[in-house]
Parts: sequence; C-alpha cells; structure tokens
Amino acid sequence: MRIGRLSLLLGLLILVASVAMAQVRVDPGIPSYRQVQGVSGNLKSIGSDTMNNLMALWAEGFTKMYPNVKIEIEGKGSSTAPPALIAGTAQFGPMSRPMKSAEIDNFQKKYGYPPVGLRTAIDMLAVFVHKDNPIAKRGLTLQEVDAIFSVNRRGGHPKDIRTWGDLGLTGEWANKPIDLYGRNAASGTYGYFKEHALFNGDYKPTVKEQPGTSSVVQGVASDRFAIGYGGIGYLTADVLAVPLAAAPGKPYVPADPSHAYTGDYPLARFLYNYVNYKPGSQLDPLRREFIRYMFSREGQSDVVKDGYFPVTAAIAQQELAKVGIR
Amino acid sequence: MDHQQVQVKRRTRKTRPSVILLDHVSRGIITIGGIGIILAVSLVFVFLASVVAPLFQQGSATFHHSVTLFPGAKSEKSERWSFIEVDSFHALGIHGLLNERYVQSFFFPTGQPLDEYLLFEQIPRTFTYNRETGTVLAGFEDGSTQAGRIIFNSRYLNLSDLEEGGKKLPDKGIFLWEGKAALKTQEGQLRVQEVSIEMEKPIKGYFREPVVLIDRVDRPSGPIVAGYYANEVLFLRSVTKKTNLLTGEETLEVEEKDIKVPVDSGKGIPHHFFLLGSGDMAFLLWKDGNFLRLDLNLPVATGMQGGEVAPASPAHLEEAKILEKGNLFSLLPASKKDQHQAQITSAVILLGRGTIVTGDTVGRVCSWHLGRTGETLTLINSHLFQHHSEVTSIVPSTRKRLLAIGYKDGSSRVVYLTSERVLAEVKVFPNEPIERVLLAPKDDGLGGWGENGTFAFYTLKEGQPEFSLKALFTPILYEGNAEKEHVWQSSSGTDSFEPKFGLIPLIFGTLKATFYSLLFGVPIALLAAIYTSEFLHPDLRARIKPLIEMMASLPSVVLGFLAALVIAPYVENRVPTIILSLYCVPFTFFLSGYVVQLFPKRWFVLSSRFQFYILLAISLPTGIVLSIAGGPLLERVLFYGDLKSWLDGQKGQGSPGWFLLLLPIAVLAGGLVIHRVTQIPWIRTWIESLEKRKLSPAAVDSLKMVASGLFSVVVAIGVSLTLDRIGVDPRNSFPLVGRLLGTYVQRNSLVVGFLMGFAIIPIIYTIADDALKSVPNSLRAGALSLGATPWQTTVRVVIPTAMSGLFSAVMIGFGRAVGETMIVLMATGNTPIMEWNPFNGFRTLSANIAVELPEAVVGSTHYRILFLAALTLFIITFLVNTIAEIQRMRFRTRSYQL
Repeated sequence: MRIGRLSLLLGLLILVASVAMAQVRVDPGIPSYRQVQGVSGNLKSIGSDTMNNLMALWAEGFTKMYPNVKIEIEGKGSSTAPPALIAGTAQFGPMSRPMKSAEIDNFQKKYGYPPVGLRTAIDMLAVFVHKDNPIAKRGLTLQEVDAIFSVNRRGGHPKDIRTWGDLGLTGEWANKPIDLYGRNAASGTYGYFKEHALFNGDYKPTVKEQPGTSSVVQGVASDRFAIGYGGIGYLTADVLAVPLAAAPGKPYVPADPSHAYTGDYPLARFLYNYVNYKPGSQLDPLRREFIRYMFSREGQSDVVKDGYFPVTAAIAQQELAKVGIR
Repeated sequence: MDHQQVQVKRRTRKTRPSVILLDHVSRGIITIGGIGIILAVSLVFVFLASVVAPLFQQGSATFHHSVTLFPGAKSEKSERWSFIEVDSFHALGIHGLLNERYVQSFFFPTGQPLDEYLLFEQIPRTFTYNRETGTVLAGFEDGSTQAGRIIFNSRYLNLSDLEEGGKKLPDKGIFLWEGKAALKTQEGQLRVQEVSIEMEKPIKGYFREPVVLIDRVDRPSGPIVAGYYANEVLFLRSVTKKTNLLTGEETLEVEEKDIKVPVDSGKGIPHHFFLLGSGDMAFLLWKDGNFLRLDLNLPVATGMQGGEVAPASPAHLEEAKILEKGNLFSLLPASKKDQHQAQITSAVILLGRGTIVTGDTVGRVCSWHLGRTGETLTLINSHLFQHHSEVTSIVPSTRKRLLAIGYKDGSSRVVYLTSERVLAEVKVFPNEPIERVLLAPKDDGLGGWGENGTFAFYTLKEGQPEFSLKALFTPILYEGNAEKEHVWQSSSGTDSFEPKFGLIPLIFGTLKATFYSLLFGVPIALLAAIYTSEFLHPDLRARIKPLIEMMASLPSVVLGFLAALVIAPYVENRVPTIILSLYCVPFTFFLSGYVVQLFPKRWFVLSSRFQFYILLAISLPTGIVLSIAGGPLLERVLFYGDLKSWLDGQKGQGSPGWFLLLLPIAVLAGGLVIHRVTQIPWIRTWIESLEKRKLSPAAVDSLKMVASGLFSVVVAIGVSLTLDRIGVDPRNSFPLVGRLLGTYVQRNSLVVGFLMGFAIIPIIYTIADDALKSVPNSLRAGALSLGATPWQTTVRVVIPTAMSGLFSAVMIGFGRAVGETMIVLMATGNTPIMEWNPFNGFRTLSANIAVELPEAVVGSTHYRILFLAALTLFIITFLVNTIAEIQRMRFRTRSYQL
C-alpha cells in the first residue's frame, strides 16, 4: 500500500514536471554536472544585458556547489565585453552577438591569439507590443519591422510606417503614431537587430534608447502604442511577442518553443560567452568547471528557467572541445 | 590741539609671534589651496586635450620592402583577373594569374614562391574575389560556374614542443620554418600561417553561352549568385539554408531564374556587374559611364532539396524590370563634369554592398549610393577625390569605408570616404603605373604591384580616419540618404556599419535640456527667493528655507526614475490639464492678489497675516481645480477634440499652438502697455476722477488688470491668426530649431525639465536668498520710510542691489543643468533629434558619454570623440562661467558703494 502511494505520488510529480517542461526540454544527451575538488577564487563577467539573468542563474548554481567562489556580474551591453576581456578585468564576456573583426583584432594584438566564443544558449529575438495590440494576432514581416524601425528601409518595404494605421490596424489604432523603444549602441541585441531586421540600415533617431531589455519591456508595457525588441527571456505578462515572417508570402512564425530549433524563426540567434583561451593550453580549474557547468544538464536547465532555449548535446560537445575540455 | 602729555601705562603694541606665525601659515595654506584648484582644473583640461589631440594626427605610409614577383609575365596579365592578397600578419601572400587557373603562395618579405594551388579545371572567362569572405567565383566559356574559398589559417604550436624550445628561431619578425611562413607570438607560441583552399563542384547553367560577368552575395540565410551570359541573359541562383538544430538536418531551398536584360542594342557587354544590398538589385556598368539598375524579383520558394528547377526556354524569358537607367558622369556635380567624356577604368563595391566606387581616366574616384527621395531610390554621388593621374586600381578595405587607390603615374593613396580625408599618399614607382594595389586585411599595410613585376610594400598608419572637423560639425551625406544630414549613430554590431559622428544633435540636445530646465527652474527659484526673503513672515521663512534646501539632497537617479516610471505615464494621460495648469495656477495667484485688495479694510488687515496660507490653501487648489475642469474643455475647443493628433499634424491649423506659445509674451506686453497708457496725462486725470467718485483704488487697479488681460488675449489671438494666414505653423520645421511643436512622446522634455528644475531650484534658491539677505536693511528701511510699498522697495531698491548675486545664482544653476546626466539618461529616450519640440526627447553630451564610454575601445576614434564631447562641455561651462563672473563683477562695482 505504501509503495503504491509512493509510486502514485512520484507519477504525479513526473507528470507535473513533464507538463511544465514539456515545452522545452534539455537534450538528454547532455550529461549531469559532476563536482570536483579544489575550486575557489573570484570570477568576473562583464558583457551582455540579454544574458544578465542567465549569468546570474549560472553563478547561483555554481556557488551553491563551490561556496568559496565569488562571482561578480555586470551587464551593460555586449560591446562592453571585448574591452573588458582585453584589459583582463573580466574572465567571461557574455555577448548576444558575435565579435566584430575589429574587436577580435584588438584582442589578438594584445594576446597573439583570437578569443574563443562559446555558444551557450539559443535566443529568439522577439518584437514586443502591448498586450492589447491587435497586430500580435496577425504578425509582421521582417520588411515591415524594417520600415517601422529604420530610416533607410533597405529590406525593400515601399513606404515608411509611422502610425499603426499604416500596418492596416483600424479603429482607435488607426492614427496613433508608433512609439519606438530599443537598446543603446553598447548592446549586442541592438547590433544583431540592426544587421538582421534592419538589413544593416540605420535606426530612426526617434527610437528611444533604453539601458536594458527589461526597461524596453517596461516601456512597452506602460505605453499602449509602443513597440520594442529584446530577448525572449524578458517576456512578461504585460507584453506580447509578435509572430514574424521572413519575407512577404512566407508564413508568420510565433516565438514559441516549438519553433526554436527548426530554423524557421527569422531572428533566432546564439548567445555567446567569450573567454580568453590560449590554444593548446589547459584552462585553470575555476574557469574550466564553470564552462563545464554551463554545458551540463543543470546549466542548460538554468537556460530554460530564464526563458531561453538550451543547446543540443552535439553543440555542447563541440563547444567544450573548443576550450580543450574532454 | 591739546599738548598735554597723557601718562598711560605702556602696553606692548606688538603682535604675539604665534599669531603672526599662524597668520602666515594660514595664508600659505589658503594660497596653496587656491593655486591647487586652478592647477587641478587646468590638469583636467590638459588631460582631456591630450586624449583628444591624437585625433588630429595624419596617417602615414613608410617604406618597408620591395621584391620582384613574376618577372617577365607582363604580357599575360589582365587586370581583372590577377589578384594579390596578404594575410593579417604580412607573412604569407598569394597571387594568381587566373588565366593559368592557379594561385601561388609566396613568402611575403622576400617574394620567394612557396606552394601552387590549382583552382579551376578550365580557364575562367570571368572571375570575382570577395576579400571579406574569401570566396572566389568563376564563370566559364561553357556556361558553368564554380565557387570556392581561399582563406588564411593560423596554426599554433607551443615553442616547448619544438626542437631546443624554438631558441634557434628568431624572436622577432617573420621567418621560414619547414617551408612555411611563421612568427613567434608574445605568449610563447609559434604561429604558422597557411593557405586553405576549398573548391565546390562546378554547376552547369542552362544556356551554353559563356558567362561573361558574375557576382555573389552571402546573406545570413545563404548565397545568391548572379551571372551574365554573352546572350544578354541574367541567371540567378539563390540558396536558402535552414538548419534544424535538434536533428542537425539541413534543408536547402534552391531558387533559380533566368531573366532577359533589356540592354540597348549596340552597347555590348557591360564591363562591371554588381549585386546590390541583399541581392535584390543588379547594377550593370559600362566604360562610358552608362549604367542600368535592375530589379531582380526573387522567385517564390520551390522548396526543392538541392535539385534544379526545369529551366525556361529563351523564348519565354521574362524581362527584368529596369529601376534606373542613366550615365554616371551626368550625375556628377556641374563643376566636375568633363567636356570630353572620361572612361571608367575600375569599379568596386564596398563592404555592406550599399556603395559603389568608380575610378576613371581623369583621376577621379567617385562613390555612389542609392538615396531615397520621397518614395523612389536614385543613384547619388556621395564623395569625390580628385587626382591628376588616371586611376588604375582600387581596393576597398574589409573593415571600414577605406580605399587604397593606385594611379598611372605610380603614386598611391589611401582615403577614407565619410570624412573625405586622404590618409596617406606615396609615390610607389617613379615612372611606372601601378597594375594593382594591395591593402593588408587590418588596414595596416599598403602595397603596389607594377607592370614589370616589382612589388613595393609600405606599412600604413591610418591615424584616426573617421575624424575630421567637417565630419563632426557639418552635415554629411551618409550612405542610404539623399541629403546631407546631422546624424549621431556611432557604433553597431557589424563591421559594415558607417559610423556617424555628428556632434551637432548632441550639442542641440544639451542646449534644449538646459533651456527647458532653466525655463522651469529659474522663475520659480528666483521668485521664491524674493518672496521668502522680502514678504514672508520670519518664522515661516525659517521653516521653509530648510525644506527647499532638502530638495537638493534628492539623488538625481531617484528623480530620473520617478520621471520615467511615475510622472511620464501620469502626464501622458492628462496633457491638456497639465498644459492648462501652467497658465491657470499663476493666473489664480495673480487673481487672488487683486481679490484680496478688494476686501473691506478690516478684512484686508486681518488677512494680511495669513497671506501665505491663503495662497497655499485657497489659490493653489482653485488653480488646480480650474485646470482639471478646463483641460477637456480646452482640448475640445482649441484642439479639435484630440490634442495628440493635433500635435502629430493630423488635423487643424497652427493657431491654437501659436496662441498658447504667445500668451505669456502677450501678457507681459499687455501689462507694459497698460502701464504706459495709464501714464498718459488725460487718461490719468480720468482715472483720478473715477477714484474721487467713490471707486476705490483697488477697484481701479482691478479694472486695469482686466483691461491688460483682455488686451493680451486679443493680441495673442490676433498674432496667431495672422501667422496662420501667412502659413507659418509651429508644427512645421524651421531652419535652426526644427519643429516648435510636434508629435507627443511619453518621455519628453516637459517632464524632464520639470524634474531637472527640481535639481536646480534648491541651488538657485539658496544663493539668491543669500544675495538678497546681504542687502543692508538700512536701504529697505530708508525706502519704506519714504513711503514706498514693500513691492516697490523690492523691485526698485533690493533687487538691483542684489543683482550680482542673483545673476551668479542663475549661472550656477545653468552650470548644473548643462552637466546633469542621470535624470536625462533615465527620463528621456536619448534620441538624437534636432527639434525644439517640448513634447519629445533629446540626447545630451553628458548622457551620451555616460551611455557610450563603457563600450568604446580605449584609444579608438570613438573613444577620443567622446572625450572631445567632454572637452566641448568643459569649454562651454568654462566660457559661460567666465562671462557670468565678468558680468557679476560689473554688477558688484555698481552696488559696491552701498
């Protein structure tokens, strides 16, 4: 009887857990993290705001296992990571975009070898609107997003989009100007959005620059006629992520877990973590274990907790090999 | 004169030595302190200037070495096919003679050939090499194409693994190691440079015609290849790659299309061909400058996996749509057009694929991009570099909008497009034309390859190419624009971005922020200081002054936070009420003064003790209630029912806006006018006769106020209607100040001005209050005893005396407002726009530095330009304070005698 009750409880737990995790699952091929001895010291991470919470979750999980480790996290924008790595003020440089050649050059000038970028998570860069906005039911093409946010419209949309009426909305939305929220130039999200959604065009000068994605979401949540962009991990109940289509005529793909890995969502990207790794050398235990933690089951579950998508086991193994682990 | 000697006890009249010593010591300390302050401020200036000074450095090219490559091969070369490239470390080079299908790698410092690599099975008819991605693409006589990649790789070996720990190898410089170019790194490793070449399989085209031109664009989703057959048919092949990350499965969508190019007969084959943007437009260019821009409507996906679509037969080909047709030379500015037509000798496309650069026989290097005028895109000439010799070769940089140009007279130049600066100029060969110029990948080397096979290499220091005073302070024609503009958009996540360092929007934003904060803060602070020091009961004053000074202790971060999260959303829903309250509340205060005057004497005397409380408890709430009630009414009557859409320019005339803007000025004018009018003798006697007829002076005074009020309203309405009739609308863009009123944005300067006022009011108040208190009481007593009212005493005696202090109070407030960073950073959207509109935001120099400095690489041009912005702020504040101090001294000498 006791065993029966226990197994019922266990079954219920598994059901609940699986329902909760049914949407996003960590690849079963990724191993669990195994603790080692002799890990202590200080780690500092300077870089992406998009990955700020993620780094905090990893730091929390890591310090729980190794209480002698102190981790400091600063997330002012991806562009702050290369100068910090070059100067040696940070051991990790999370970036939501890959490094530019000029940044790699500067690093190489100092150390003689290029920095190593590890792909730690997958993000779907979302376009946020207020929860009352009817455009979220239909979706936007990348060309329309381009016309909303940029001055050059290099994506090819014929006209400038200034009001919600220009997108076909009617009623009280018809003549309201679109209020634009975005990130500042230090952000990797800014650079990625400019490259892929604005087709390398320029932002309108009226895009309000916010220091972090949470301020973008907060701005959109408090302003009915606003639109903004940021990592999907910052989605709250007050805003909606708009489905995006890669081109007119292609289907609108919503930013939900079922489309994260198929390659259909046009603004899916990797979230990188850059480290200073001398080719052929061995990493010090502190950084080695942190990287191992990032690519372990616990680390990738933290990714899911933050609202992003975990990498596959194949990618995890590739990345670990990049820094000479296992 | 009393000659009596008075005997008194002798007292020492000497000062004690300790006192003298203390005197000297304290004087010394204070002097050191004072000089120290001056030194510290100058040091700040010197530091800023030292970081900014390298911006003005010129670039330079210094001779490095000269070798011979390909002796005697002159007859085989054709400039479109030969190419020469070097790796990032100037160790390994490759050059190719593609009519021999090979590339040859060589040891760069000596020219010694190393390895040979076969690229193509047949001799290519046409060939392109993309320096950014390393992709080579060739078109052949039988209509097929082949792509591949040539990249330089670095292999790292630990010195400890080599024989004798690598001690035999030279520590500096590049050397040959086991037949490969190698060099040592700072970290004790050996870096070996290698070339890796991957060629794809040739792809057959539909037509068996030679492919005479070819180009390729690598989009994030996959490549597009376009080729031009000899029978004037363009083929397109677009590959979209989607990777399913979970399964690792790759789906390839291949779309192929053949289109007929509507070329005028007799023109022949074009000489240059480029795919623009993301491959949606094709650009064909002939030597005489004629060009054709075609729309390559990419076909709808067929969803096949790697196969080929059934191709159409030549009879059924659709014609490509011509977007633009013309001659490049006719687009040049009038002064640069030639009588006898020049010929285009070389054309390249810059990184980002938005700009084309052409060089011609008269030595002009011109850049062209597509600019939008209205709804259409047209080709525009953006920059022009003139030289006296024919252009033979142009190579664009892969990092920035920099060009290396080779000329027929053997000279070579390195130029940067946006700032139109010539960074370096060298005479490579004294009397031999440069066949091909070389630019090292990191833009740190310049080389020239002459006709005879001599190759000379120079190390290039580009200095700070993006900087020039013209680029920072004048409007520039940026890529993608049709007109010159002031833009600040300094960086991005990609290399192909054109940094835009226009400082004018930032300076404009700083002035706008200062203006609105002073507009709100100065009148309130000064009037508050005058009221509390002259009219308020001393007990109350002792309690209010500390309260106001406590306002200064509010951290500006908190103020910015409040502005952005609490006040901005609140104001957004109540804009007409807030605007009305700006007029209503001062008006009710005014009105209550006149009303109290009309009271019977006894009430008046009793109430004079409670002046302050009456104002606070009756006038202020009345004003607020009036504006709450009147707000919707104002919106309905003046703004056609919707203020925000009026501001957006969607409906109505400009007169309501003019009325509100001009009303304060009109009120001042009205007061002055009525004052003058009542001085006119016959009116004065009439008024006095009224007073005799039992009309109290208070009533007359109120009548005067009513008259001036009516007058000002009428004048304001009249002027706004007249401006309307002329067609001047405050929502239109004026030359220097942009729009006076415009679209409403939640984070606007009204809200920010209100809160920056919070920050500067306590400062101005304190200093003004002290200045007013320092006026000797004897002056006040004298004026009052001569029969002046407290108001007359204040305005005509106290304020002129305290003018220097009041002025310096305002100047210190100004200094604080100019430098305020946190409130602006958090409460505006940091939008670099140039509009005086109070309903949208701005970007100040200080907030810009705060936002961008953490991401600027130390020592880069961006970093130094931010320091230049800091220096500009420093100079502005310094100048304003100096002028203010001079003025203050002048005011002081006037009141010094008192």
